[in-house]
Amino acid sequence: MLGKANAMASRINIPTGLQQLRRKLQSGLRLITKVSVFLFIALFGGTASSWYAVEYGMPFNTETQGPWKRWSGAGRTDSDPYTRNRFSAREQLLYNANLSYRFEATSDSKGRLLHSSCDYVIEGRKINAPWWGLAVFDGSGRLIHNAASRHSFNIDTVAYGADGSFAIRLSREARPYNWLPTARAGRLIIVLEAQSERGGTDVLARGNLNLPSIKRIACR
Amino acid sequence: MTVLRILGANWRLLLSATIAALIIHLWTTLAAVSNSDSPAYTSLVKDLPFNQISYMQPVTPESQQLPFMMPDIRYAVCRFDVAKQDVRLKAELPGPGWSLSLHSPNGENFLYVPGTEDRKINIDFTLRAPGSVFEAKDIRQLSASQQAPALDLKYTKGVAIYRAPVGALALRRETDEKLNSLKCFPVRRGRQLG
Repeated sequence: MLGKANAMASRINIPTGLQQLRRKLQSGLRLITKVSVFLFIALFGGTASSWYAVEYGMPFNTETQGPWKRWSGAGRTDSDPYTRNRFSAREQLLYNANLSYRFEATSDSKGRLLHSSCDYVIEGRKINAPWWGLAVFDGSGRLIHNAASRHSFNIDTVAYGADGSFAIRLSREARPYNWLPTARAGRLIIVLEAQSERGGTDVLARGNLNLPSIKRIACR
Repeated sequence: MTVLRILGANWRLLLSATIAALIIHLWTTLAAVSNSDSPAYTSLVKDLPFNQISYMQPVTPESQQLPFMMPDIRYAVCRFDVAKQDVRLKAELPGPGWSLSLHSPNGENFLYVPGTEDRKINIDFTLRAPGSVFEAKDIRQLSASQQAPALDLKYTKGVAIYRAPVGALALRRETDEKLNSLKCFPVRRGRQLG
């Protein structure tokens, strides 16, 4: 009896109960899919892009030179919200970026993340700043504990070659000359601070600082 | 082609989701910016007395107070409060690497004086309570001939950080001695106390 009614209904194009239910389900599913896509793009896209901009910077608030990155608004009274958030979250008290240069490297010159399981060499010619210092930290900005108590080099403590160049080795095992132990720190961050004499204008007038390269030698 | 067709059919949804993402991006970014004290400032000054010098321990893994502090720098700091009295600040910057910087509680570095290769810089000025606005962007370097006798601050509280580079081992004692050149003491408005 019911089969007959359904057949008649389909002939004269009247949706049966089952078809109505299916259509309702389909439109419900379509709505749920659309809402999910909307929420995903809005929430994930919004928060992820904000996180990325704060963590890695944007072209307008960072300057990149090889593996080195500098936040140009750091410490300034007119710094942008991304820069403020970044350094506030990291508990860093910074010096006005117009007047003092601070570079960070989280990867080597080929863009591979720095890690304590690899050995690196930081090579360069004399850096054209009246004073500079270079230190290696773990991923959270803490100094790496080591028996040799070596954490940094600066313009006065680094050993130069006869041609005025220098090479600093980052390795777990002891190396001759300029060696910074990385122990088992995991991710590494190298910080280079360079002071300018005339509030930045002297280095800017001379062009960029000649920053060293970071080469990976080997990994374990 | 299928992807393009789906995108074309749902362009209103995608456009509205992108606009919503942009709003959330801005809201997330701006909401995190607060005008309260910066965590670094709070952590640095929490146990420091007002208007006097405090020498910080050499930066080692055990004594590192803030992340990313350079270990080859010795620090002396003066946490100042100019609400009730002015504060006099004196320091010598014997050469490159030395610097004196003033920071507001929200972490801004509104004054930075670096040492130079050419000559020793003697700094001597009085920090005064907010009166006129002091803009850091106009400051490049205070040379001996340009020393400002008084700085009208934008903030009543803050911290002065004196940085001394640690060079070769033989010079470390000399560095520590020169670090003592920083003087920070309260002065009653109009006349000196200490």
